[in-house]
Formats: sequence, structure tokens, C-alpha cells
Amino acid sequence: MKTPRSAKILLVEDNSGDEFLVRDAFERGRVRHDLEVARDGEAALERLRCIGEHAEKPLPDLILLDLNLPKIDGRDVLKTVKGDNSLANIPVLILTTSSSQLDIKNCYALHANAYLTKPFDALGYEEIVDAVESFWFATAVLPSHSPGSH
Amino acid sequence: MRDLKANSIILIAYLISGAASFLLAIPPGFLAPVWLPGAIGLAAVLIIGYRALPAIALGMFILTLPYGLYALDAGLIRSLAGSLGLAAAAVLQAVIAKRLVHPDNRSDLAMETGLQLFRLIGYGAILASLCGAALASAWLVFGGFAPPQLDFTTAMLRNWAGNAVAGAALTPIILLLFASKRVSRTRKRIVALAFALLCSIGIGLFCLARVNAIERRDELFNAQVTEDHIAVQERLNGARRRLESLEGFFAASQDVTNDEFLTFVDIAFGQFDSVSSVHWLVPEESGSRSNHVVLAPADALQLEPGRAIMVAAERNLVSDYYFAGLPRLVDDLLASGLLAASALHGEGDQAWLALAIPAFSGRRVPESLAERREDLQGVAIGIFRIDVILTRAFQHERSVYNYRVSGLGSGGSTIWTFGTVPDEPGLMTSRELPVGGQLWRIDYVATDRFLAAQQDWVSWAVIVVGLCFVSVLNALALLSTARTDLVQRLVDEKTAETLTLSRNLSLILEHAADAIIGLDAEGHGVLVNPAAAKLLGYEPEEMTRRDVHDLIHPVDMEGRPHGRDTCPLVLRSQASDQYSGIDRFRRRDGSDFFAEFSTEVIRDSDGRSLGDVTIMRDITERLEVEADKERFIERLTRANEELERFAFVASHDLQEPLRLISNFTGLLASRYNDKLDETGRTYIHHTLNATSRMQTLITDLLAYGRLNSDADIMKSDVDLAQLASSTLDTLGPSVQAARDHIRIGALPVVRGNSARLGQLLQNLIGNAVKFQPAGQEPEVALEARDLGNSWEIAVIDNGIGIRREYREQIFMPFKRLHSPDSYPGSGMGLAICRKIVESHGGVLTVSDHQPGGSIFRFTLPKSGPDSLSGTDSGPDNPIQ
Repeated sequence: MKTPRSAKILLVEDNSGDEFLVRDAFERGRVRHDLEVARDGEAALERLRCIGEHAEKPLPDLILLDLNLPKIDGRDVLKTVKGDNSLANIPVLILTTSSSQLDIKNCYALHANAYLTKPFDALGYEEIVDAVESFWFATAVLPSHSPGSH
Repeated sequence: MRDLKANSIILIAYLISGAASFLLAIPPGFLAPVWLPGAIGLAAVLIIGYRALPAIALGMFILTLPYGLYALDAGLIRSLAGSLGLAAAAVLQAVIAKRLVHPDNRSDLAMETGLQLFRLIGYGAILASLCGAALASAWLVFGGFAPPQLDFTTAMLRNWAGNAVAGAALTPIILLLFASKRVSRTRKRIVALAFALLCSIGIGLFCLARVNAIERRDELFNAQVTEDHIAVQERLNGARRRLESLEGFFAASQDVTNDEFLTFVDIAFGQFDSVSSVHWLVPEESGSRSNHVVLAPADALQLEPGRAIMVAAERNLVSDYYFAGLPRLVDDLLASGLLAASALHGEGDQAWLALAIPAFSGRRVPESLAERREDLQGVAIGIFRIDVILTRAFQHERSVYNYRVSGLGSGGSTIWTFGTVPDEPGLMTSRELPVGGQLWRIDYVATDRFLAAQQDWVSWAVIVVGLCFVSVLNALALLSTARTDLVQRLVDEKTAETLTLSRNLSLILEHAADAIIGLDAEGHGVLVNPAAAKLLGYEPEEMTRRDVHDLIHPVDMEGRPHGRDTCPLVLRSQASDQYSGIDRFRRRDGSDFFAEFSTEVIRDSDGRSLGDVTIMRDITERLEVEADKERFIERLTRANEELERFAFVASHDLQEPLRLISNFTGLLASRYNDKLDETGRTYIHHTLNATSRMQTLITDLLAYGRLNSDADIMKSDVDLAQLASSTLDTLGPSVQAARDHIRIGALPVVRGNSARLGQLLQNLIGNAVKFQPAGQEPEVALEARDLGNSWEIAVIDNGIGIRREYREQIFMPFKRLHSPDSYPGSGMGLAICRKIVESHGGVLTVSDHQPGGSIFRFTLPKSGPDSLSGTDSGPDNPIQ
């Protein structure tokens, strides 16, 4: 099941508690992974555009995106990513507290690849990460990225 | 009642005019030359229609009945029949006239146009009268009710002429005076006066002609009577002479045989056919001559001996005394020595006269009785038919007279009469006649035929032609006055209209709530109503003849001075003839106000501007109020939005840390379970319970807030039965367990939002199952009731029920009646339910269910807007 190379995952999340839980869930998962965290929308876009310290870094295979972010809102990040030809093919999974239909519809309209709500119970994150791993890294085929391609 | 009155008036007019017509009859008692009731009947039937028929029928009946009874002496039954026929004919004539003239309304009877007159006279008077006359005359003549000398054609023509002339002359006047209200008094006066004048002249001429004619007729009659009376005398003298010739005959021959006597009588009286018998008497002592007491052959002379009565002097002698009484007669003759006469009265219309003449031997009549007795040679007696004597004497037709012969006694008393005359003879003259010592009087009475032959065509012509003339003049007067009347009426109407209009206009101007200002072409005030003066603070006269723009409109909306070139009050400078808007105006005291106004140019028929009229209303207050209102609404909206955003964000942000508490406590419980003692695990258990409850609270609060924010969710047709059934599937295990006890009755298809109604049912059914006493099986029923405009859905349970004092509280957010331990829940369920029902335009209430439990009832309108009428639509609040 394990992929030959480690999966590059960008988590855009301002809350360290959530970061901890996501990271914990991936640690307990089966996939070799490289989890990067951006604390706000601006940082996330800088990372994705390989600006500054991120110059030589390869693009992530998957983005986990919170909607409620400081500086640039998660929705705008989604819009920018999906509007950028070089980034548009990275799967973006929305991971948020909101269960509002309005948010759900908007995100899919902006070509989000999945919409996940943050779980309430202790084992919820593990179940989510398990599902992401088994679908995105075992079942689905992802596009390959060369570092600094733009 | 009205009919009775109208009919009474018509009847009286009918009878009076009928009596007048009879007076005009020529001669009196004959058909009237002009039948005035015809005109009355025609006018009546045109004015009040067939309701006038009873009066016409009764009038005709009353008028003609006495004529039949007394003038024609026709007897009661025949008179009744004749009058009834005439009444029927009059009614038919009226009906025909009404049908022919056929006025559309009373105005058609105002006799204003030639056509109206033509219809009235041509159809109503002439044609209808022809029908009426034909019917009446046919009834009279062929029914045998008419005087014998009257034939059908004459009767019909005279009847027709009388009716038609009266109708043509009189009816237009009657209609003019009484039929139409729109005829002016002046016109009535003029026409009536002209008519009265013409009629007076006509009647005067008629009377003159009439008097003249009657005199002429009477003279003619008297002359004829005189002539004929002389002839009667001569006839009697002739009889006497013939009797005297007998004396000579017997003097010449002493021995006359009977045959010789008869031959002589035949010669003497041959042409004298009034003689019945001739006798020659000789005194008894000369018995040899007794054979000369001879009767002319009775059969030849039509005398029936033995039946005649001889009247000598004042004594009657029956036939048996005829011969026995002769000596007596002789005695009488001898006593008088003169001619003696006596009337012999027969039966029927025959009467005889006996003439006796004594013959003396000397030429002269001896003076003494003794001598006369001595000298008496014989007595010649002739018996004559009186009626034949008279009629043979009359040189004119016998039908000229009816006569009566009376024998007068001493002192003029009548002893006997022969012949009959009417009781009230129209024309009679009496003459006296001495006959053989008696005095007779003969009454000559003109017969109807004489009167008819002598009737006065001149006066007839006067009245008929005169009335025709009157009709024509009438028509001219009617038409010419109608034109004047029409013009006058138009002038009156227009004047009244103008007055009313100007009064109304000035009332409108005076009392209009809006200011009205009229400007002339120069922009100077010409008309300022009180409202305008009050609004602007000027007296009306202060604004007239002054430049109104300068006075009240020196600045524009923003308060900047502006010239009159752009002033909307002076529309000369504008492209359009009409302008309306809102602008700033200035009062006399310098204060400004805002007014809504509308200005329109007034143009003359050539399109030149005469100025304009402005109507304005002060809306300063309204503008302020509107501005206040707008500001208030804006503030309110903003406050609402902030509040909702606050609630939304607050509940959302509350959820974040709670979720993490829950997550980490969960991790603690799962990963450090073995490192914790029992107390620590209990703490964690309570912490998790608390976070779970708080999460429910926040979720429900969010859902409640979202009901506002998603106000425009669309409606569709929702089958409630199907929805209820699918809702049950989504409910938790407690509901599934009780599913057999949940009865879903017949539920309607309603218009609404499926998701929300689902939530509603979910909450209500969930509550019904949840709030049960421990150990009791829930019994839940859903029922629907049609309320006409809406449906009422009831959710009925057998649960713990709700006390009356809490029935309103339970719909408040977070309101709970029980601890979460006994009945879990956030306290938001019913608040959400009520909001859903209200957003559908319905009402949610709760009541008791006997013996235990509650009934939650909600209504849903059958038709409503297609989007939910949520409360103010909040900001688009996504959950972050």
C-alpha cells in the first residue's frame, strides 16, 4: 500500500490544535508523508507559488484547506489555486467546521475536490485521514509535479 | 287611483265636448258636423295610453244613449245596443290611433316637428277616424239603429269628417297643453291664444251662418204652408161649389132619376177624389123625391155606410142615425140657413168631413125659419176624406209636413183632433180654417226630410272648412313656436350648465386642498386660490399681475438662485406643455418649503399659449417623515444584520474550541484510559457529556439562525404523508421502536419547503415519542383538517402533556421544562418548529389531549408566495 516516495501534503490551518490532530492522525496512518503547514492564506499562496524560502520546494500532492483563515480567506485561496493553471491540478480538500450548505455549494463551484467537516469526537480525524489515504494515495492517480516548474 | 282620476277628467271633457258637438249639429239632433269627443279621445289615448279606454267607452255610451232613447225613440234595448256598438267603435278607433301614431315618449307629443304633426293628423286624426267612422256607421246603419233616411255612405263620410276635422284642429292643442312637460309656457300661451282666436272667429261665423240659415228655412216653410193652406181652402170651396151645383141640377128638373143623379155626380165630382158619397135630400112632405136620397155607390166612393159617424154641429151621430138624424141636420141647416159642416171621425188615419148645403126655391135665403122651411127644396150633402182633401191640396211633397187638424170649440178649446205631430216639433206653424160654421186649426210640422233637405250646408262648410283652416294655421303656429321653444330651451339648458359648471369650478377652486395658481403668458399671476394664498403667505391680490417666478420660486431644489428661463412654472420656456415634479418654493416670509407640483400650459384654439396653471402641494413634512423613516429602517436593518452576524459568528466561534475540547478529551479517554483511575474517567465522561450537549446547543442555535438567513429557499408541492413517512426513517432508534404506534392519517399535498417541513415533522414526532412517562408505549397520530383557505395538521400524542402556564414558553429558544438528564434536548426544537411554521405563513399552537398528552397543531395556507416569507433576510452568513 505504501507509495515509493512520501506524499507531500500542504495543510493550511491556523489552529495549532487542529494541526496537532491532523498531524497525529497522519502519523498513525499508513502513508509515508511529508506534511507542511501554512498558518494563513497568504503563507499558503507564497508556498504554492514557491516564493522566497519556498523557492526550490516541489509543489504538494494534496492540499488540506481550512476556510476560516487569517489574512487571505480560505475561499480566496481556493479560487486562486483553481484559477492558476500551474496549481489547478492539485487536489484541494476543504477541511472546515462549517456544515453550511452555502459553503459546501460554493466550494464545489470553485472546483474543490472534496469537502470534509472537522470531526467532533476523538477518533474522527483518524477516520478522515484513513479515508484520504486510501482514496487519494492508494486508489486515485495524482498528477506528477516537477519542483519550481513555473 | 291615478287612472281613476285621469279617467274622470277624460270622461268629463268627453261629455262636455260631446254636448257641445250636439249643439253644433245641423239641424239639431242630426249628426254633428264636428265630433269634438273624437279629438279628446285621441289626445287621451296618446297621453296616457290604453288606460284612457274606459273613459272613452263610457263617454261615448253616455253621450249616445239619450239620442237613441229620446231623439230616435228606439226603445231601451235597441238604444243600449246602438250605444254599446258606438262605444266599441270609439275604443277601436282610439286603439288604432295609438298604434298608428305610436309615440316613443311624451316628447314626441310636443308637436315640434312636421313629422310629429303629420303622424298625429294623418294617422291619428284622418286614418284612424276613417276606421272608427266605418265601424260606427256600419253598426248604426246595418244594425238598424240609425234614422231611416240615413244611408251608410252618408253616415260614414259625415262621421269621418266630423272626427277627422276635430282631431286635426283640436288634438295638437290638447297635446301641446297637457302631454309634454318640455313645452314652454310661452309656446303654450301663443298657440292656445291663436287657437282660441281662430275658434272664436269660426264660431262667430258659424253662428251667423246658422241664424241666417234658420231664418231662411223658416221663411220657406211658412211660405209653403201659406200656399198650401190657401189650396186647402180652395179645395174646400171647390167641394162646396160642386154641392151647390146639385141645387141647380134639381131645380132644372123636378124628376130626376137615380141614374141621372149618379151621372151628374159622376160629372161634378169625377175629378174630385176626396169625395166619399154625395146625397140629395128633399123634405119629407115631398115624398115623390125621396128616391133622390141617394148614395153614390159605396164601393166606388170607398164609403162603408153604417160605419161612418156623422158629426153635425157639436153633436155626434152614429151611422144608425145617419138617415134618422137627417131631419135634425136639416133643422140645423134651416136654423142657420147656411152651409153646415161636420167632421166624421173614422178609424185609423181616416177621417171624413160632411158638408151640407140647403137649397131654397128662391134665389135668396129666406129670412125667417118658417119661410125657409117653406121654401126648402132640398139639402145637398157631401162626405169627403179630410186627409185626401189636405194631401190633394198640398202642392209640395207630402213628406214636407206632418199635420194635425183640430176642431175648435167656443173659446178656442179643442173638440177633436185628427193626425199626429211629434211632441216637440222642430218647426211648426198653425193656421185656422173656417169650415161650415166650425173653426178648424191645422198644425203644420216640418218633417225630418224637409229639415234635412233644407239643412244648412253653409254653416256646415263654415265649421268644417274653418276647422281645416284652423288646423293648418295651428300646424304653422306649432312648428314656428317649436323652433323658438327649442332655441329657448337650448339656451336655458346651456345657461344652466354654464352656471352649474362655473359654480362647481369656483367651489373646487375655493375648497381645493391643493394650491392652484394660474399665470398669464407673461408669467404674471391671474388666479390664486385660497389654499395657494395660505401656503405661500400672500393675499391673492398680492400675487396677481406680479411675476410669480420672482415671488415664490427664486431658488432651485438645492437652494441655488436660478433664472426664469429654467423655471418650470413658466412653461413657455419648456419643450413640453406639461411638467410635474418636486421643487423648492419660497413663502412671503422668506422660509422655503418643498412642494410636489404639476404645471400645464393653457392654449387657445390657435395653439397660442394663454399661460399656465400650476397645482402644488406642500410635501416638506412628508419628505422629512420619509427621510426619517428611511434612516430608521437603515439603522434597524444594520442592527439586525449585526445582531445576526454576531449570533452566527458567536455560535460558530464557540464551536471551534468546543470541538477541540471534545477532540482532546476524547484522545485523553482513548489513549490514557489505562493510566487514569475511575475518578479521572468519570471526570472525562462528564466533560464529554457537557461538550456534547453544548455542541447540540450550538448546532440548534445555528440552525435557528439559519432559518432567517436562508429566507429565500424556494417552495414546491410537498406531499406531507410521504414526507412524514420518510421523516420517520431518518429518526433515531427510539422512534423506530415506536413506529408501529405512529399513525399517519390522510395528509394533504401542501405548498412549502420540503426540507424545513421535514425538520418540523421530525421535531414534532420526535418530541411526541420522547416526552413519555417512563414505561409507557407512545401513541402518536398525524391528522389533517381542511379549514378552507388553509390546512390544519395535528400531531397528537399520549405523552406527559404540557401545563397551561408553559404553553407559550416552550416555543422560546433554549426554554426547557425538564432536565436534560430526564429528557435530553437543547430546548431549541419547538422554537425552530414555530419559526418554520411562521415562515410558511401558518401558526403553531399546543393544546391538551384528553385523557393525557398534547396536540400540536399547525396551519399551512393553501396558496402563498412561492418563496418562504422568512423574517428579514439576514446577511449571507457562511459558517466558517
